[in-house]
Amino acid sequence: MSSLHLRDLKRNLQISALRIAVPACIVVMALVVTVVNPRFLTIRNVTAILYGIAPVGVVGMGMALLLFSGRFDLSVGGIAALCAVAGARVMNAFGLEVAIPVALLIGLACGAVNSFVIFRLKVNSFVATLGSGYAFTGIAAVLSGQSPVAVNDLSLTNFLNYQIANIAVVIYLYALIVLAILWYSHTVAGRSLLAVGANEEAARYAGVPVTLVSMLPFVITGVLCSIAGMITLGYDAAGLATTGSDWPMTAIAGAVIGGVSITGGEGSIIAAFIGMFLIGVVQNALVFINVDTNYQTIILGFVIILAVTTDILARNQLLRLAGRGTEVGNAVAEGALPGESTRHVAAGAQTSTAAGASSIKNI
Amino acid sequence: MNLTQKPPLLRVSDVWKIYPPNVKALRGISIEVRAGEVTALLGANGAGKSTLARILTGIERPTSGTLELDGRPIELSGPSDGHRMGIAAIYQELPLLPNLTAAENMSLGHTGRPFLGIWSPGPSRRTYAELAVEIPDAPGPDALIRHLSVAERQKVAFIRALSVEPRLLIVDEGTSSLSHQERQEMQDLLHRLAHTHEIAVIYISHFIDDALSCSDRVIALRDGELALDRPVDQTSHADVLGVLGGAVRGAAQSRRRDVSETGSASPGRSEPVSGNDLEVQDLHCPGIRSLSFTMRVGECLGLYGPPGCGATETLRAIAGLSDHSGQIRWDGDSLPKSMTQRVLRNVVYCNGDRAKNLILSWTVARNINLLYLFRQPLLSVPSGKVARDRARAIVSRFEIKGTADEAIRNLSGGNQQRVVVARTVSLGAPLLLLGDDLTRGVDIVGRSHIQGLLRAAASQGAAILLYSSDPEETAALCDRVLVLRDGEVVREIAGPDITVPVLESEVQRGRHANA
Repeated sequence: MSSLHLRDLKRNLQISALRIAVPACIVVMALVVTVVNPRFLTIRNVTAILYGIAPVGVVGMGMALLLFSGRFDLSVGGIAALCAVAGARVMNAFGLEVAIPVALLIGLACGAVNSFVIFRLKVNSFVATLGSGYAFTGIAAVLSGQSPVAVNDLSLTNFLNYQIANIAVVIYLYALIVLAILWYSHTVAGRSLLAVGANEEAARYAGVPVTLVSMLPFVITGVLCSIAGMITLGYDAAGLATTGSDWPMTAIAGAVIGGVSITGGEGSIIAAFIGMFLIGVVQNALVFINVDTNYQTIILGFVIILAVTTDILARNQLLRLAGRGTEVGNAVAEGALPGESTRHVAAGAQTSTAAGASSIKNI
Repeated sequence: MNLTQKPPLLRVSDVWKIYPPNVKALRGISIEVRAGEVTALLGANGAGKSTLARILTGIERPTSGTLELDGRPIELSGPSDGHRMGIAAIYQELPLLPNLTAAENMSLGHTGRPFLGIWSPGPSRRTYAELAVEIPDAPGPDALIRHLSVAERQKVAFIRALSVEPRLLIVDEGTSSLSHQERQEMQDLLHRLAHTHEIAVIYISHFIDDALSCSDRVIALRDGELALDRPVDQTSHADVLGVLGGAVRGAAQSRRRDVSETGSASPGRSEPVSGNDLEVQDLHCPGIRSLSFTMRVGECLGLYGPPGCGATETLRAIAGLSDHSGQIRWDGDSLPKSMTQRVLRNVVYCNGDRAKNLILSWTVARNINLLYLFRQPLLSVPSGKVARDRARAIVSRFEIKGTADEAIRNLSGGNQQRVVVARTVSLGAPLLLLGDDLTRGVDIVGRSHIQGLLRAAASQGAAILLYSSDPEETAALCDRVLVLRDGEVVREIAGPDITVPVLESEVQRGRHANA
């Protein structure tokens, strides 16, 4: 028995190593950049990073909740764009006091539309939100016309940039949202998301109202998107239909870099926040060492692939760990077939497990 | 007798398997296996039967000791060596590829011969069809695996094993998900294969009766040692149970006796309870035509019938897992529609497939508390201390081998299932526990533990409605049995009339009716 435990321990260590690989790389990079340019690791620069990632960071909090339950929302950019443009139009017509509630309501409605399509019409969340994202972006484009909708009233811009203790209000707002989602993730509704993502059937048997708890994050994400849309509206002093075109990927990547599993059932809000912050660090560091913006995109792309790859490697280790639960364990994969095709089939068995049994996908 | 005169096909001499640092999985095993015989290999979880199987197939190498095939010593350094020498294995969790056909799956295992440097396929559809003749109701060569039932997949696995022309066939039934009837079909097949094809079959099973009924020789392991090695005609059920149970045997047997005693005493006991606690009227849904029955708290009611009789569907409908029409009243009120609401009213469905009930990556404690999560308001933050205390209490009260804070996948199958039952039973009375083949794939000792838990829960005010594919278990546990066929109750059996032969004859009758 103890040899098995030793092997498990080794696997667990490998898994932990894989999980922290990407964050560790980024931290090392940050240290190197600091050596090159000591101004990198100053409070001033850290707040600059937070300021930069605040809009997508807010969206990322909702995305993390969705990832917990094994789903995601690709329409976040579309919702934000719609809210930014509509918010700008309303602001110009009726002022900020009207624009904010309208934007929040639009975000809420978009989230509700997504929930309806996914849970009523039973469309897979990938397809549903890919489609609705296009629709929302399209509506934003129609609303804005040829050019961005500039706002005359700069009170939102001034408010977000207002400094309290040398820190802009938008960063407090971001912190507030992180704390709110952190609280939500600890409530009954939030905790059950991980159960749903890990093993939906087991969650259902234990009395978790699966549809209700998985629907709420879509609505929450919709509202967070409208907040993020309003933040960019404030930053740019204009509503852009192109707002957030890269947010779905960045938000997912941030969570995954932090260690939220892309297939659901594992992760924490703190981890998602740290992951998002690290993305900000990468972007900022590349600026510091004068890397061209296009190269920045390439590098970020590779970081994302690396993060997802390590997540999947760790997951496979876990599958193997779970496989040994039965007495025959690995023998199953190896024993029944002769020779060279063994590996082939073992891989096949794994994919079939992954597809068929949400049972172990959690682990 | 002439069988024993034959030289053994396989001789295992003094095989030890020691895992570092010092875990002795096998302690000097010496056995002989003859062609044309089915040798049953029995043992509780962890007794070493799977280790032995892995050594025989070449997946693992023994620490010391020798293997001889046909009197010649052999060294197996991998499963492919085993195959070359005619050793094939069939495992319960079948590594068949779901998106390929039966024939393709069979060919997968074969390396084939390179022709002009081009890899040529191994045995083809034709070979498959030839081998399939041996096996009754085998799926066609073009059947896609994912469309096949567990029993049919098993047949494909057999055909694949036969395609390497084995001389020694190892069948591991250790974590069976086959129903009782399907197992019997498989045993008939094993018997035939061994006797007509002169194959030596090693049949690994949890079920003593199964093993005794289909084998020529019985070998039992305990703690890595050979505990029994006898021809089947000199072996009784009690012998094997005695050897396997070991220290726990006493407990297991006395519990069994308790079960039968309380079982016969039950009519008297349920007298004081007035009215019916569960009332099912005209239940109708796919798989169930129309079902009406009642039961009381304190009672253990069994559903029994051939595969497809509607027992599982009934349990799932009552749990709220499937849409149904008809009235279900529980504890004085009709049941709400949603499953969550039903769980809140202590109507809980437990499946024999642990992977469906449990989140295997989570700790024991988290799994226990999942059932209690929605007894708190949606937006409240549950107290960590309450959850921890609850989990610890359940782990210690139900003697679960493991700690509350370890990953539940580290527990043995029987202990995992015990967690499922324990967390449900701890909800308190009145409880309606819907057990869907709860002890499937659990070894003998674990089985009697779980049966004891259910019995105790019934006496403390739970209603236990269960389906078990094992007639032995149904007979041991139930006060009353409804025999189902095609989604209807065809017979009700009560008290002392519930015996294994009666139940089996009901199933046989169902078969003929279907045919």
